[in-house]
Amino acid sequence: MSQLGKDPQHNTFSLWQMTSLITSTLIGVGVLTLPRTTTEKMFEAGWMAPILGSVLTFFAIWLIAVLSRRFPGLTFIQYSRIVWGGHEQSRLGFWLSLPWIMMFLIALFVTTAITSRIFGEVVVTAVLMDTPLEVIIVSMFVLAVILCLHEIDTLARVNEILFPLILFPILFIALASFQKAEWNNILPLIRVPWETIITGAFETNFSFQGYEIMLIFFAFAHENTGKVKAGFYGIGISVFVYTLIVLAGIVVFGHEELQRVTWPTLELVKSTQVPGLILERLESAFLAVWVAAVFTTVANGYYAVIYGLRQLLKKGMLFQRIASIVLIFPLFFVAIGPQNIVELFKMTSLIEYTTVWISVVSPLIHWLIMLYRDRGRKREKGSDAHG
Amino acid sequence: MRMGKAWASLCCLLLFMTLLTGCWDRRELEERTSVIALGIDLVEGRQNLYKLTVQIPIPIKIAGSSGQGGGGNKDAVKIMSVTGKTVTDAVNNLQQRLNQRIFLGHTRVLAISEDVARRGMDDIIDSFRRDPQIRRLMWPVVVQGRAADLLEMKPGLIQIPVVFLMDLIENGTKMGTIPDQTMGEYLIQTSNETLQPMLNYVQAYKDDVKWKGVAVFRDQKMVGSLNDIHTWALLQLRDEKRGGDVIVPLPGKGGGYISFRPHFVRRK
Repeated sequence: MSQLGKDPQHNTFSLWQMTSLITSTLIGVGVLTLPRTTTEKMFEAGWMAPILGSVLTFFAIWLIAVLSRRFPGLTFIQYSRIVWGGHEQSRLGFWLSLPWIMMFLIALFVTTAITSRIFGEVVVTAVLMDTPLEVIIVSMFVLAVILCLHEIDTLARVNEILFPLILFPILFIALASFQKAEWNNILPLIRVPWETIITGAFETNFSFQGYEIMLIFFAFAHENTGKVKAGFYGIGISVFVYTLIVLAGIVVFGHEELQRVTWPTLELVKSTQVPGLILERLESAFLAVWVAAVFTTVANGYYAVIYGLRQLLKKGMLFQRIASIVLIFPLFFVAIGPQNIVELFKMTSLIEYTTVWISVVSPLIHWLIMLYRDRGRKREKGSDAHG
Repeated sequence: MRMGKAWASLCCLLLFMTLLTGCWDRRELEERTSVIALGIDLVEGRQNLYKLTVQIPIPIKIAGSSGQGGGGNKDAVKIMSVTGKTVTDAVNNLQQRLNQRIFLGHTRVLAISEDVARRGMDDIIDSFRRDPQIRRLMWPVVVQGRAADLLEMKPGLIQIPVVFLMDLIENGTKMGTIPDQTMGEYLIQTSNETLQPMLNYVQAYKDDVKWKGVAVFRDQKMVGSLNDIHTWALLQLRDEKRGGDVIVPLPGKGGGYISFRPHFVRRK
């Protein structure tokens, strides 16, 4: 494992690349439904949900960054067994860490599949009505596979280049829709009890899922870049975008109307007219750009799964390439599993609960064990010189 | 090294494959029938049927007449009427009489007759809400009398009659004299618990159209209408729009009137 640290592809991610990696993974299909899901329980106060919900996310990304800083150059797959078994009992560590790793990989795998399915549903209902859903999903997967054929620094550069393409249209839409804003819609500021706000905010934490890929990708950070800083920047930008989108949805539609539209952000785009612009049907342009946002979510997730598997089995680049093609088939069947959009949303909420385990609970447990071990070693060193 | 080349060529092949497929939903302009306006009436004597009237622009006529200069604008649009139990049913019936697929994505005006509006708009609006082709920026208007009259009028100034009405409303909203009541606004006002919707109220004549104020609704049923002066007061109070001129008779013996034109409105 130690020779991996000398690999030229390691230690390459800049701060900006990591920030764009996090933000572009977070911003995906969730943006389209977020105004509806947040206002479902919190009504007018829905725009506070991303801000409040991000507290837990900030904590989790801090945990992930601290863990990665403790094991520089190692991914979660590699350091999990050290955490569980120490350097001495690597076999025990492997078996103890396996459930956590498998949970991580499977959840990420299913999330990736479901994300591409939601993407397909939106495209089929909104623009390409005659195109089969399967074709849209498969073409997205093919793009993800092409990315998986490359080394990990390609992934970082792709994210870096797509980052402005994802961010600016969404910001533009949110700001352009404010011209139709009815600011009375966010009043009264707080109408629901505090417990509802807290549960609502907790559920919004789900829309930040995706940052758990940093369990793997933080390992490739450049030595001098702050991982915590990158994490906080990445999540901070997402919080800003989410808040703006939800706020735009509430002030334009009002929370009652938001409950009646399946894809509120898309409707927001549809009912936004930009003065002085020739484009009348903005939604086609928006969806075209939004493809990039979903692609980064799907491809980053899929890449993390494939790379994790490669490290788990200690295989090389050839394995990664073959696995990325072979695993498309189960991925496709998971994606087309749900019969309709109702089942799809049910499945999404089910997955969201499990991802909390992967992205918050698992790093927390690893961190606590690591703390315990480090303290034990320090005490040993203090009492015993050659220990 | 050879391995890398093989992979590169495979990638290229895959990329070229995606180029070959083209677009599934490709439908050229002449391969679809774009409906620019819809009109909904009740069928006389049959309470459970709607009559749907559509206005379809004929692209060739529009392009040709501008070159020839003053062709008969009578032919620039085609007007058709069908009946159906619901709006969707009527659209399907219409499809059976048209050679190309109907496309509602360019529909800009939805004319609803006062009878339909007074009976309740739930059925109609619901079918439009669920159709992804329908734009939220479409203008629904309530027509005094028959909705079909609005579609059949011939203003003469412009080739497509409905564009006349569209421009009228659009310029009115820019000046602040006509409320900006789009489909989206109507939907928001029906779902908002604190608001009741309103729609622009027009009267169609043989060769022009008059904006008469707004039709006011309660639970999706039209209950009455406001005339232009009332509407301006409503606009000034609700949206801080400027509204129309207020004409005040001069006090004293001389008679005469003062036109009072507001430039901006501020409410407390």
